[in-house]
Amino acid sequence: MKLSQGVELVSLLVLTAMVVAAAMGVVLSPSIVYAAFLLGLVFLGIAGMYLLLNADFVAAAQVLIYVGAVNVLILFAIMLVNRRKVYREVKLGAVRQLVAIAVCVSLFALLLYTNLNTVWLLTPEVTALPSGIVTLGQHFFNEYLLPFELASVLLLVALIGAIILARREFVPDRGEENLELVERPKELVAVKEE
Amino acid sequence: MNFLSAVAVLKTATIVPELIVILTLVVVLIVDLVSGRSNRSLPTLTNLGLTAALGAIVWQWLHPQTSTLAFLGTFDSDRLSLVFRGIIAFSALLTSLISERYLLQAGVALGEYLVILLTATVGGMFLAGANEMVTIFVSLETLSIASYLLSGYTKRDPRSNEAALKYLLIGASSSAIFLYGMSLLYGLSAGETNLLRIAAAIRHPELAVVLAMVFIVAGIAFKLSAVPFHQWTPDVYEGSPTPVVAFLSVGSKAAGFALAVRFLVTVFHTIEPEWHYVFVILTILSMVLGNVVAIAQTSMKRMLAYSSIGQAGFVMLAMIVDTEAGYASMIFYLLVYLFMNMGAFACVILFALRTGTDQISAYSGLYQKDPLLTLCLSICLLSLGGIPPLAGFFGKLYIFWAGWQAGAYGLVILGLVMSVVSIYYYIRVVKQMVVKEPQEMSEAVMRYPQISWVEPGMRPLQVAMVSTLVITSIAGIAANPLFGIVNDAVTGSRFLQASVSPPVIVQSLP
Amino acid sequence: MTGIDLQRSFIDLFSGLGIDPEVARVMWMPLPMLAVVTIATVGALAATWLERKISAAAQQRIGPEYAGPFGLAIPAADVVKLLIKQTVVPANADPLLFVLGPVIVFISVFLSFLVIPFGENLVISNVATGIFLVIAISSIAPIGLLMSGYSSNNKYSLLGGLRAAAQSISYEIPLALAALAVAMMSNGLSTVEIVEQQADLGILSWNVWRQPIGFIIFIIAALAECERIPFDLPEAEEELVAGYQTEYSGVNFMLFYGASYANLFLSALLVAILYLGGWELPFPIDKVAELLSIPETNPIWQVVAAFLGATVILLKAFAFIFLAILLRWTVPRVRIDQLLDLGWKFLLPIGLANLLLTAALKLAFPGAFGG
Repeated sequence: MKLSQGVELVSLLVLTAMVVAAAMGVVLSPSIVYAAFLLGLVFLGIAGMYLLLNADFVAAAQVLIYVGAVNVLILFAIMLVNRRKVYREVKLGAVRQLVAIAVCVSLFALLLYTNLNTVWLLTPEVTALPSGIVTLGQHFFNEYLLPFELASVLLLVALIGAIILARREFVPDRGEENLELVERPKELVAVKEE
Repeated sequence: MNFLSAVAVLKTATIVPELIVILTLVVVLIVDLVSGRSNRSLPTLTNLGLTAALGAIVWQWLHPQTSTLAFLGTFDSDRLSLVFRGIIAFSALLTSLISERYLLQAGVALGEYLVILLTATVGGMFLAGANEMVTIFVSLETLSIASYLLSGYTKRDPRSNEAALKYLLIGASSSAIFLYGMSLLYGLSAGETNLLRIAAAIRHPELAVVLAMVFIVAGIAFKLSAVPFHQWTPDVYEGSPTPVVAFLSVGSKAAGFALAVRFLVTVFHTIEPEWHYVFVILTILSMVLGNVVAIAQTSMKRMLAYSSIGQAGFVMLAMIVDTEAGYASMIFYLLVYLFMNMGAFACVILFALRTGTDQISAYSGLYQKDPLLTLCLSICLLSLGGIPPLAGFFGKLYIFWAGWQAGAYGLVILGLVMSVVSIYYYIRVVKQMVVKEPQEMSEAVMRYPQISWVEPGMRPLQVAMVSTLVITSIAGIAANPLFGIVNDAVTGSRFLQASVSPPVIVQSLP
Repeated sequence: MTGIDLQRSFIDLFSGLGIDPEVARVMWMPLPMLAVVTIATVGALAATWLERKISAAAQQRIGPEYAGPFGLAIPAADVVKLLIKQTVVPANADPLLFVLGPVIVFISVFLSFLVIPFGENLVISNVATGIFLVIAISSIAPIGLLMSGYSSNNKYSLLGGLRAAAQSISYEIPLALAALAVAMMSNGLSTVEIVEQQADLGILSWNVWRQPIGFIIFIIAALAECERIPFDLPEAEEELVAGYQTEYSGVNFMLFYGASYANLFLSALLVAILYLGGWELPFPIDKVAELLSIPETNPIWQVVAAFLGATVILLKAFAFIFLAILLRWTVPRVRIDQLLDLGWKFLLPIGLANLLLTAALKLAFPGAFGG
């Protein structure tokens, strides 16, 4: 085995272990802050996997967007609304957890079985590219032109939507019921009819 | 490559309707930004843009191309996609007509609402013709994200927040499942994203293909709100602004059906029995649960939510018989469903605007106060239930006939029974409105305001109501042009032809 | 590839001694890493010394004088002092996150030095994503800041951490937009490519003339990213004691302190690379070599050129640091709302407009704008 292959294999194993362990931590950690930090670790591990796949640009984008933006926003949200609140135990919590575990394990077994019994059409040899950026750009402006352009519309509306949701509105106070839907809820209707 | 030759190679002309909608979206956004809040021309602009888009669709229909694949195989502009895009654009147009007054009365901004609605329309229209997985996913997300925003648009109302949050969470997880299914296909076909190439690459009906199918069906069934992927529907429908519900139940659903037909028929032809089997289960559950639970509802919006689940069941029945008549009846039913459901929602909105409630019990005795509203709502509900000679009757008849021809006897009989059940709860509302004596009139109807159509935004609502009323009444009797359209749509679509006449499959693959 | 190739010479040398080239490569690997850490550390230490000296000059003082010539031993004394101080973890703090926070910040800054070139071949890894990688890696730092702010069990720390993260995300976008405009002109993201594209005409071909708006945006955003005055809100001492650093002492504090000056050094180097021609001298050095009829392959000339280049890029970088320190004593601190307004409502639109303008100019004058 050559040195580079050995490094690749070890890196893959380390990354896999890291991602799986961190992801388990995200799910199982009782502290939401720890879960959020571990989520950042998961994202970093995925970026490492992209690097192993020779997708350096995607890896950098993963770090920038998921670690640098998404995860920071999640942390922000947690820290701004970190109300210490004791959650009630869910009814039949243990049973629910067992059912969830059973479903997850069986799904995993099914996927594993499928994975091992499927003839994946793969091209094993990897052509060493100078960088994925050029290839990526060519794909964007060839067969993926339409989704690439459509994504701009999607991002535009996501931006507008975020502003709508976050914008503070100064509205004249319309009485104690500050509901916007024209249909009033049932209880209020009943009260009014009395 | 210069600009004009790029346009020629990509066949940009095929997406002119979508481009018109995007242009309208940008214009509305800029006009809203420049002119400030008091501008009343925004709905007019939107309506004009959507009408122009519909015009472009009609023009394309009248000038069919020999090769419909555009953008290097990314987008298929065949007649099937044209019909679906037409349905989506039309539903957006009707939604825009019935929205204005509602939003003014709710006291929320109009401009952004219209922009998001138009974006949802663009997403749905691209989804109807998308022939490649990345395009499918991006357009699906465009539609979905716009829908989440729309359902949470009245953000100071906690019910709307709840609706948006539920929709977002369930939608995001179903998108993830859908994406997982697509990634399996990507792996199985050695890195293809084009549906036709994937279909060519998948030759063996392996377990992985079935698994991919199941995941993808789960993603699509969420959009169709087929049972058991329907849990979001009643809550979202109840909490969202009513015009949004109208769009979700028609436009968004039509986009979902377009996606279902194209994706499943093209890619999974090797495992056709399996995906039919899955859909048979979804159909049975949707028809039974949607129609039975609708009986117990007290809120009109919730009742229409469950009824839309049941209606989706009927449409799925038409889809899985997999004959030319089946697909034709499916499109026909979606066309008439567009008008009757939109009409019903227009009436519900008008009633809510005038009385401020959507309880079914509040409708009693409405006949005395507002005959036009009563007439319109009755016709639309009866048509949804399938009472002759309204459009819905012929739609259902066509579906059951197609199903019977294809030998799906059990499903057809179940469908008939469930139609009867649905007639029960539709008629119940009609009876409340028409039959009650004056002294049994509900409180809301007793305080019914003077009928007036002069407030801003009332005229469009009236136009939408009356036009859907007229079309619902006569579309069944004078159905020949519609039949012509749906038959052309099915015969003009290469992949459907390949599916309904199996020997052609092998030759038509690239 | 022209110029010196240290790695190949190193491997050739050891292969000549009878060592397997593969092993020689493994032996080579830690050297550049060590070099980068050394350079970053020395740069940061020099920045702290300059901060003292220039601050003193700005206030008509002399500054450190007795510790070594011109007080040059002061940074070393700082390090030693911080190393031997006790590290205190406050009561009820989260000890794991408390220690991890500064480490993450430190690593994310030092990792970025990987792609900083000090000469055509004096770069650890000339990856194609170069400048994008720097922006991506430096975006990890806010996590460390949030972590230390949260784990300190101190309201000032938490507020400081939140402010730091908000500021960092806000100014990353204009920073990236400005860098993107440069990348657009250079037809690549690699830092080496970006410098080489500014090489033709000496000082005249530097990007600062072609990207004046981008230059100003980048400088403002870089100052904000480094949390320098006027953007040092996360540690605004009048409001927040010392922000997220409040509870830190000893080595942990040194990590923050070092990271902040290393970050300043890094930003200065990026300014030099993106806008001031990197290691290129103000006059084209190749032309001089031609004039003196020295062949390009002459090893002595190569060493001299590389040395000149490294010196020049450091000079440019320290010029930016000088500017940053002067700003510290001339500009008052902005308020947090002004800071966010400046980022989102001013720099972001201007950055987008600059990007659009660059694209238009690139199409219109492909010769001058790297078409």
